[in-house]
Amino acid sequence: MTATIEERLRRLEHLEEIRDLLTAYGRLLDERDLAGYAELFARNGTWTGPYIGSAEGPAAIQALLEKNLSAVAGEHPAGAHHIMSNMVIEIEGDAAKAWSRWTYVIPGDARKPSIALSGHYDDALTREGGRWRFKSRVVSGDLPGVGGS
Amino acid sequence: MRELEQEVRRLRDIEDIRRLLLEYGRTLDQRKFADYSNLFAHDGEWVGVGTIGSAQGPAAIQAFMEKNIGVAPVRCNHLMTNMLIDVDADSATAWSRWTLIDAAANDTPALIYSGHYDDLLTRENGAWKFRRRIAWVDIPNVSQAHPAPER
Repeated sequence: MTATIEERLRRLEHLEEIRDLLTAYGRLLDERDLAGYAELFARNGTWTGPYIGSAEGPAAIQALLEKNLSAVAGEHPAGAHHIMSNMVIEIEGDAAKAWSRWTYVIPGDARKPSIALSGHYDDALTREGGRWRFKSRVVSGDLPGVGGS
Repeated sequence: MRELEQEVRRLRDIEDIRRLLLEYGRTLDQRKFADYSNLFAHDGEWVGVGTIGSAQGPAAIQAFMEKNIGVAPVRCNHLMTNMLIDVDADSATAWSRWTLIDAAANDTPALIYSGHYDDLLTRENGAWKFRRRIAWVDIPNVSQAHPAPER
């Protein structure tokens, strides 16, 4: 059956909202607003990464990151940030899947930016309270190679 | 139907603004400061926090960039990423990241500077323009000690 104009428009709106979700994740993480960051996850949302383990639910995810992030990112030097790119998004009803790349940039030699880590995300997304949220986010580190999918 | 038209318009506005943010990088890298400065509203401002200062209005912005950045051809590349855009009728705000890539030793590409932009945008004669672009440099962290201009 051909999608109606309304359905096609809704799909575009959802793609925009999901792109915003994937980008806001990086901004809140870099600004160390971990409460705002954790709210991007669904009630039973999970975060799984190769560096610091996994957690379920916004409160547990916030606690996991607060406890362990500094061990991974060192002191999170001023200006360090994630470049978020290559977003591939598939929507099916109130669920969606996303794949995207992340590149973590830190101050390096001669005060120039230097790529410290890079990898990708595999996401399952869900609509909760009228907003898209992470149902599961699996973080993989590609360079240097560490675990993940 | 009216609601549908408004939503289509909002999505088109987001697309047009993404294009504006990308054209900024393209004209900057090409050193086409006449085209670059036309991306700003008639009273639009460019503010570089902790760097080369600020200028207001397309003519002043063009002169300011030609003087401070120069017009000689370069091969540098501003990667424009992480765009967050919020549209409210005829005005909008945007936040995005920039990463400057240029030639290092052996002519290989290397990251030279990185930072982010805070933008106020306005629709002027039917086209989206910068009402104010604040350019922050995050690495090296030169903007940190400087306060943001007042809104």
